[in-house]
Amino acid sequence: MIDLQHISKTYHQGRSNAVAALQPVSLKLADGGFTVVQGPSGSGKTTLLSVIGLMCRPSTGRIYVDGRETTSLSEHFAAHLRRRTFGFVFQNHNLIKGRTVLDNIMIPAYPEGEPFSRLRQRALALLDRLKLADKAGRQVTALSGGELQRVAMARAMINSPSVLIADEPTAHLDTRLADRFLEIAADLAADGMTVLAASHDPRVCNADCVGTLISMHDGRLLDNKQSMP
Amino acid sequence: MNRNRYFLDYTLVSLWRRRWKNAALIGVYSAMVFLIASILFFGDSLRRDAAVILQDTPEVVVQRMVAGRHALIPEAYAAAIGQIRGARNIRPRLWGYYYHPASQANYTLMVPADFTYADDQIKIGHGVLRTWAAARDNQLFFKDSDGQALPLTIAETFSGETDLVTADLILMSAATFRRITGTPEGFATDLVGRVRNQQETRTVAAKIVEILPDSRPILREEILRTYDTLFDWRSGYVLVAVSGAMLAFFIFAWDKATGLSAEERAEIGILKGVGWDTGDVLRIKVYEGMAVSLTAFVIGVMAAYAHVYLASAPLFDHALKGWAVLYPQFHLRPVFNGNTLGVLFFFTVMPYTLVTLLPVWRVAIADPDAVMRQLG
Amino acid sequence: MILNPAIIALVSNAWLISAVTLAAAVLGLRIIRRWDLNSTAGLQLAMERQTYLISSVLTYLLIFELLSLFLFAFTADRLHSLFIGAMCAAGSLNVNAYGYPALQLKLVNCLLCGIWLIVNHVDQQGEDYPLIRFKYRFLTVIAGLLVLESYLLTQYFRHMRADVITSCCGTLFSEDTTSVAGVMAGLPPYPAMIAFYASMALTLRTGIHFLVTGRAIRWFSGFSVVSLAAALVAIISFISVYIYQLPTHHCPFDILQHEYLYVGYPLYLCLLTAGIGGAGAGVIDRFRQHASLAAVIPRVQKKLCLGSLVAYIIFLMISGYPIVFTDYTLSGY
Repeated sequence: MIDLQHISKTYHQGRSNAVAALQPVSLKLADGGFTVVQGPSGSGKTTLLSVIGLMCRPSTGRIYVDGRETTSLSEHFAAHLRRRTFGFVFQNHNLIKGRTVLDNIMIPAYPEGEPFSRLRQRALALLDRLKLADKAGRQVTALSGGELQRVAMARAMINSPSVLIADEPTAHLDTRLADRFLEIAADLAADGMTVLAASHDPRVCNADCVGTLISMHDGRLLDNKQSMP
Repeated sequence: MNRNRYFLDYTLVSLWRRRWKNAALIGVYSAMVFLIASILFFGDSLRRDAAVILQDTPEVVVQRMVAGRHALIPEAYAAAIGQIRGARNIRPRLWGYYYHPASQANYTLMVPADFTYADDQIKIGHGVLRTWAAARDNQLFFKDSDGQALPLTIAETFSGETDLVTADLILMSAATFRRITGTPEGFATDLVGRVRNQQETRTVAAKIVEILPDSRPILREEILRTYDTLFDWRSGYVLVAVSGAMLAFFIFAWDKATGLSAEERAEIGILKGVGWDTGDVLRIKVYEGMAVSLTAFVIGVMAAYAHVYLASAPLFDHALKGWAVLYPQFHLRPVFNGNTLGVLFFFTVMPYTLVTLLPVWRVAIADPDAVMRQLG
Repeated sequence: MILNPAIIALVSNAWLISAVTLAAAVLGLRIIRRWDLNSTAGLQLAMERQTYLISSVLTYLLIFELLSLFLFAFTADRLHSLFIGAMCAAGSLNVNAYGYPALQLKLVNCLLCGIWLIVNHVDQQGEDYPLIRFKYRFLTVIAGLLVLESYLLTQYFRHMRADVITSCCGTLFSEDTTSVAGVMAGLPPYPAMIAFYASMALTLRTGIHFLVTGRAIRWFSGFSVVSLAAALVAIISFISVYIYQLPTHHCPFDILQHEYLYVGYPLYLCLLTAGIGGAGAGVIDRFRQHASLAAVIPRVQKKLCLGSLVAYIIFLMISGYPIVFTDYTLSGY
């Protein structure tokens, strides 16, 4: 359960180039299910996801993750909680060049310091699940767009988070691959994971598997449309 | 433990991936270490050599002062000093310099206590043999104090190993020495003696001045101290002279650490984005710096070792040896001590680490959400 | 002033370290005044990030201080030949009034840096920076002491006047010179021995008591600091004598030389580790009540206590070896 109370975010606060990316927003996200935040670019979707995912502190307001107040955590603990709770899939994948697929997937787990054999096993299992088992030793530059996205998803799941956050996951994918993404996301949601995606792609927003649709415009929430799966 | 292994592994892969860029940095860094290490090693072994040479010299040398200048000392003084309790083996010594116009060089003449050859024979160092302009039939031509030519035969030359001390040395008998230098009978250049108890050299010296007010005792420890200071001062001076180069290097290091490529910045952004905190990023960057420092340190020290001890410091023997046109050929004995490495560390690794810390930190504090905001 | 590479290194780096720490302390002062974890302003974020920088700086600082402590002792030892009457570092440190204070302050600064790092470590284990203000007030003290240390060090080397003769026209043998050496000697060995072993015994006893019951950490901490002092006195008074096997040789610096297998390094390292660990365990004890540290502090204390005990035991074994296994005795002394 993620509870946002009057969250706002202003970049470059107090300076002439201040940008109010998020007007005060209150929102509760229940555990499990597939939620999509939709809206035109610049509407504050990405900022909302960053704030929820503890990537930045909101300018005002409080966030509770499973009842725990997170806005005044030290960076070290915020990073710790973030690793355990959230997995991220970025818009342009953001894999690290010059490293293998397997390395890329394991990187978010390095600060946890678990034994290598266990970590490797988990990474291989994820690759297997996403049908990438044969690509483990490849350099990421040698992969296709769809493969890159699945590697990014595997990386997001390496720490077994309870929430998967995806920003414009289908921006660079053709219809077949977009469907493949939705399939995996629905699969994860069915396993009890909370999937939270920001998108203005109608293929995503109108997909059957989406449980909750949140619309944003100019940093405000418009309305919440509940759809019964 | 595991965490550090992961971070270290990550660092090494990063370094290897950007090996050419890093090679340039390590190259310059090693050159810096090499330069400073050479200076320090060189000073160390000169100092050590001086100590080794002086080990066998007598504890006390007594000179006579006339008009504030060093003058010949009556041999009778030796007997007087011999009366002092604790002073032993006081004997007169004959030595001096000889200027040879043809080779335009000054040579050291000396009469050893146990000169076994005949009066017209001498024992010389390699440097003499090399520089003496006209050596024929094993004979060197000297002029005595009256201007008469005096041929002397070379009976023996010193072995090459002690070149530093013996290069310009000419040993001869007392009679020949007096003839060449005009030193009258009954007088010597100075007196040397040993002191039974090392702790008492100072007391003995004080007594010598008391009985013979015109004498000046010089203690071995004082000579040693002078050498020490001289070599220390020289290497210190050279270090100050190269401080400009050091400064240039640290600016270069700062620049390298500040000017990360867009790709590296993006990589750090991703790491922060996927859940590393500032401390983790700082750690891999610090490991990177340590790996670079260690590599450069080892390369630089090994190169300096080879330069100083295998090649006899061709780059700056004139700067440090200074007095030696005559001593171009000798091999320095390796001296290796932790103190020198410590000093070296303080001149290179420590400033490097501090200089690069700030830029590294600036990179490490990248916003985690920057990765969300960058558009692909 | 004697221009020697080691001296240049020591002095220039002392000032470099001071400058960096002073800069960190200035940042720290702002943190003390403006820190507010509930604030979402840019300043708060900037200050939080600066704490990472300061932690890293202080970590290096401890390493550099430790190295320079040994380098200083070693250099002073090597310089003794420059001073008439100085037999080892004990003498060269005595050539002017700055030598010993500089060394002692260096030792204190090493201890303080170590304790600071322990406090910092504990602070980082709490989610809400519980010790942040204490930590930075402490840092300003350290910065001040480091500047003082650099000043003393500089004065010490600046006021060194070696009795120098030059190679051709030597100076006369000088009769009036600083009387030296032996100053450090002459503490009666048996009382020093009793004090040393008694404080060690108390330290071990209270340490084990803490490990078993979790109580009496402050006693342990106090005794471990006393033991550190007693051990330093013991080295001068009798441990060095046993190592050198000379009844008149009390130098605490010669044991750093290779003639004595560098035995001084492990000895002093053990002492510093043990002292820092013991003192640190005591310093953090006052923060036990902090909600976010309640679980952390006992755990850290346990580790510190164990580390400190192990270090003291190693010290006892190394220093006890020549006392037990050599024929040399202090009888008739």
